[in-house]
Amino acid sequence: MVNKKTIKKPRQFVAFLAMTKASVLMTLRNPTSLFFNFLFPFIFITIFGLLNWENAKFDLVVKPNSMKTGIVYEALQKVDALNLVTDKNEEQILDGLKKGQVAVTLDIQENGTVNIAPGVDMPVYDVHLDTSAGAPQAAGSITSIVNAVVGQINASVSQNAPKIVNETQSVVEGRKYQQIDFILPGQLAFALLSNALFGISFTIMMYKKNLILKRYFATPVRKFNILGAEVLSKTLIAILQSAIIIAAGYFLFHFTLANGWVTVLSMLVLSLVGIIVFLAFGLLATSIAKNEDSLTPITQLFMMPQLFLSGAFFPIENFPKIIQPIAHVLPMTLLNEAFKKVAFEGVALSATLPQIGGLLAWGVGLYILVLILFKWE
Amino acid sequence: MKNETIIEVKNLVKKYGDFTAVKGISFEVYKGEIFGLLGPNGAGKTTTFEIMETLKDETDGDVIISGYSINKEAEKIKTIIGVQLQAAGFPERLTLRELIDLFAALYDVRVDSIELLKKVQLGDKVKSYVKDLSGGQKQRFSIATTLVNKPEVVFLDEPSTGLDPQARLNLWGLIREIRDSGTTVVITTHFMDEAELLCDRVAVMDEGNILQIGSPDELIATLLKKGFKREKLEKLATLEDVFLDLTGKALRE
Repeated sequence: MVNKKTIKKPRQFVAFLAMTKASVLMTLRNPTSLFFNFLFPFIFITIFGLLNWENAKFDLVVKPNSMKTGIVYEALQKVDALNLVTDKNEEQILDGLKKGQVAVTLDIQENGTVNIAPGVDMPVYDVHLDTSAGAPQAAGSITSIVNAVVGQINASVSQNAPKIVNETQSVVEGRKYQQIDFILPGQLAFALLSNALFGISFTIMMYKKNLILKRYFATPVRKFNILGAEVLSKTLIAILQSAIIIAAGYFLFHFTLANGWVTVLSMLVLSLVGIIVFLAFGLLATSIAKNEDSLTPITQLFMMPQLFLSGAFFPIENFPKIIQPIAHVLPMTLLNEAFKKVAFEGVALSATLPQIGGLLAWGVGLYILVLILFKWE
Repeated sequence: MKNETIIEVKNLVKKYGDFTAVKGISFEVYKGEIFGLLGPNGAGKTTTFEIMETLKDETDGDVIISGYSINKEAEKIKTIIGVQLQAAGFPERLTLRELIDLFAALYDVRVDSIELLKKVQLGDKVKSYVKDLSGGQKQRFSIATTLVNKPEVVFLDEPSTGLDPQARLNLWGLIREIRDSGTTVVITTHFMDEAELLCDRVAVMDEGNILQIGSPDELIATLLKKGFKREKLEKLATLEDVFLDLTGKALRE
């Protein structure tokens, strides 16, 4: 009988950090992942930019009986990207909507007043938009602008009650919505989703296929640290990817960062939440797929619906009513909406709690599924 | 001097459903020897290997390595063994040096990676990627990764498969060096000439049972005692001798 030696227990964090570092190095040295992580999103953004108009103005048709005064109307008048059209009658408008020549109509009506501070009453406005299914792109953009303006007005009223009018006007004046403001959030969400999904699922599949995973099992490293290190490394890369896309969007395409650095940080926090959920989709894909051949269709199955239904490429309002509720709860939709809120509505990160909560709920559910379904061999 | 046991396999059984791959085998491996597990495909060698390597759970029985039971102390066994898997790859786009450092971190040990690579004659390849190595270099590198934790036992699964005679000769030299430095080596191979020249003792397995254990010379003597005669008398040299005589023993890579 051999005398037992006292064995020092290997510290798992040492292994975890080393594996994370190795995985980051591998990704940064891989020309394919560099292309898809950093270059591809720009190609998409540029193409989308070229397809549409440079500094275009959208026509927002004002209904004949709509109010043409008041805080909302004036704010919309000051938006550079909007051109308020007031010379069309009901019949022309209806016809235009049907043919897609009129994308959106505006109807503002006063609806009583509300007391916002002692002695200060503010009129309440009902804003109604009719959108045309024949002009989905323009309708989506115009709706986003109006939503942003309305959101801005509401936010400033409740926060700085005594000074409403001045505050609101100055902020709205300074805001110039550009095409990139609609394109970038969706493209960023899409880039994060596709890289997380493909990146981790194909890495793990390769680890299994080449018996790298098995080789690791013969060492003292814990199984879940191997996956954990991959998740952490892919997360770090994704945050870098987000930062670069936001920076390039800002410097090259004049992407609007409503509150400067705060907006950048908010977007990075949202990216972090999103990427962790998207990585779970990737892990789930490798759990279900039997081999590389079945992995591709499974990852596409996770990606395509989110790609089309998230509002990043086509406005959700254009989908059939049955699909819309589903579209609204998809993780990429939630992330896209949250990005838009912080980036061009300029709201605080806390205002995106519904989206963050939704994403975290997805995350918990998906990781539980991964734990149940993941196969180590 | 009595041989000191480092691995004790006791009534080891492994079942896959109705199929019994390993049928209650027992054997011992002595400290500081090169022990060969031989057998045709499907004999149960790989299963036995993988149980000893902590990669598979046994159905019944036990394996004791350096006093630790595979049943209850697999985590400790992992820290004192080194495992080379047949056909296992390495993560891409990491240099040999980075990979050695990575493996050292998995064991939470410090290792002079350049010194270790020099030991396996890869001192000039520290910045290369695995995919750029020759077959023999890959095997030597794979063996280097099993040595980072200064293991008491290394398991090598068909290490010479696919190598040219020069690379095989070189690999045998490396395996003997590992043994001579005090590490016990357990290997599987399909090449009987390799087992005969390299192994101190071998076990022959088939259909989940161990048929015989002993030194190559003992096993040959047993066979001859039974009256076995080769139909054709052994030539005084083999074709491999011719090959090495013509092409030299120096490594080609």
